[in-house]
Amino acid sequence: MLGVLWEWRCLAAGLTPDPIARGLWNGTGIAYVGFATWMLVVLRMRPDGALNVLQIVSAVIATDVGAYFAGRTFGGPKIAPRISPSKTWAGLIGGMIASGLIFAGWAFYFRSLMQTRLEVFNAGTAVDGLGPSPWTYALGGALVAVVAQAGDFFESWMKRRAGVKDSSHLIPGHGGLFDRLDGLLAVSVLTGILLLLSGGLEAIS
Amino acid sequence: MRSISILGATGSIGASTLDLVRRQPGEWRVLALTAHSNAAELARLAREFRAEIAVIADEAKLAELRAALSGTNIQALGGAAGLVEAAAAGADLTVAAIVGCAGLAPTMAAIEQGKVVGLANKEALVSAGEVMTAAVEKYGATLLPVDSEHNAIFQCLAGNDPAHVRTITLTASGGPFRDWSLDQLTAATPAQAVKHPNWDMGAKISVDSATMFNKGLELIEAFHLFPVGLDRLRIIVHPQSVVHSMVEYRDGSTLAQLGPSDMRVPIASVLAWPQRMDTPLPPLDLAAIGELTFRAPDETRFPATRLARQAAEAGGAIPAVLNAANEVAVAGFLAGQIGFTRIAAMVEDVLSRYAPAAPSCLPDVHAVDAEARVHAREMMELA
Repeated sequence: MLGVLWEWRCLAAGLTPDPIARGLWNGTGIAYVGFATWMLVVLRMRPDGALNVLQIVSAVIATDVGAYFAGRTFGGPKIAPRISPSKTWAGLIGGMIASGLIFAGWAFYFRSLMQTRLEVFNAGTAVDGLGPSPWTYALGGALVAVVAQAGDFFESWMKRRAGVKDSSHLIPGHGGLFDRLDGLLAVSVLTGILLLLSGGLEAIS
Repeated sequence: MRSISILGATGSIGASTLDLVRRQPGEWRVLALTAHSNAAELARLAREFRAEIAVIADEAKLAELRAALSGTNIQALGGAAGLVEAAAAGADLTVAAIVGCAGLAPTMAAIEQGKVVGLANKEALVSAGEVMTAAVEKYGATLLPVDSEHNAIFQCLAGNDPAHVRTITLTASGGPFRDWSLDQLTAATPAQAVKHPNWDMGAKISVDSATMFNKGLELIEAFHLFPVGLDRLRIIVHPQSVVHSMVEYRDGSTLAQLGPSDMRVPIASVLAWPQRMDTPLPPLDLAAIGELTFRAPDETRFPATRLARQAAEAGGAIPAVLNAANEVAVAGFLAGQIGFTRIAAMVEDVLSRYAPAAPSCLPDVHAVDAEARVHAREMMELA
């Protein structure tokens, strides 16, 4: 996360020569990255939190992979060629499907996990309504894909305005750290807002 | 002279404990007293017993406590951190009598002192049973149960090898509704539920007694306190509440502890342990009582004990979920949101829908508790 902030600083420097505006950009970066990181920690502290963190990380990766293959296979119109020339509508839909499927898979996994933990109650037979619904989770996964791509676009937009291709060369061959984590940051922020709204934060207060 | 700290000094267990301490002048040095929000009463007790530390859990009342203690050298503290500090004051005996999950952290802090802890906080063993028993082992603390049933069992086990135990039987008064039909139970009101025939208790525990969840929670506690296995634990309804519990041994001998329905009896046994002390209670007059009756519990009308047994068997986070769901359901019943029989139904609903991972430390237990409450409240809104 410190690496991302460092990259953010470099991008902000390329965005504007005005020190006050740059300061504002940096402040926003600290708030954005800080909130996202904090929310990942909060998510981790909840019961089964480690699995939930893995769940959103896997969905963000699935979004990238699904979007890459759908975009390459179907091509078609681009979403916003001036910000990111490579992202297509077909890619977004592919990402949504991949992430939705991953989330539905997690729903099934959580169900079987809870089924095992409650074996004495249900004598091993499947219980209706135990654990999360795969349909709700699939929709959630699709939403994750949209937010992850929005995070991607936001980062691309910053890079374009700053006039760089990769956010840094911290990891050779992989663009910058921010390039890798942009989607996850946006999804963490969304997760955090949902946690705050659902009252799930009582758990760590 | 032994030192004592009482967590929850203004509650009913705290008051009974201090009543006995008052009757043994010169025996006790009072280290720390804590209260939830009654600063005036806490200050009065702290002055009377010359406590070294007084802690008010509600930080908003700390100023009031400080003012009430001015002119003394009693240290006034507030908030959750203050409670933990009082628990960690290193008393020879710490009586943990804070109600609810708020008592978890202080109880744990007392256990970590490695001395004697008189346990009157149910949630500690129900929600954090495995975490807590591991801590007792690790720090070499001695747990003395204050609850009348567990104290009775503890006394009946004294001097015997638990390996010879055939069964442990918890007695239950059956609560105010023990003879009600299912139809009557459906229409039971909060006012009827809080009127307990034998014991004078708070609203939450009275409702728990009416639903039999109290006995269910005690079963889970007994499971952790007396490791003889769940299949050796029994419950029997005993309306007179004279026999507080019993232990049957392999040779067919059953030892029972009998006494008046007054918490000062088990508290005295904890205070004096392993000795005995006087209490101001009239002797047990069995001839006047005349009859002691027993009957099997009816888990169709009162499913709580079945649910608790299943939760204890499932282990991990499930007992904590049961406890949290029950607390939310009881609050809903007292507020007129759900009917009496919905309490157990709702707990079962939550248990069949939410099963988080087993907690491995105290923050985990709190997280499970909070999360289970969110699920229970959602369930209540659907009802």
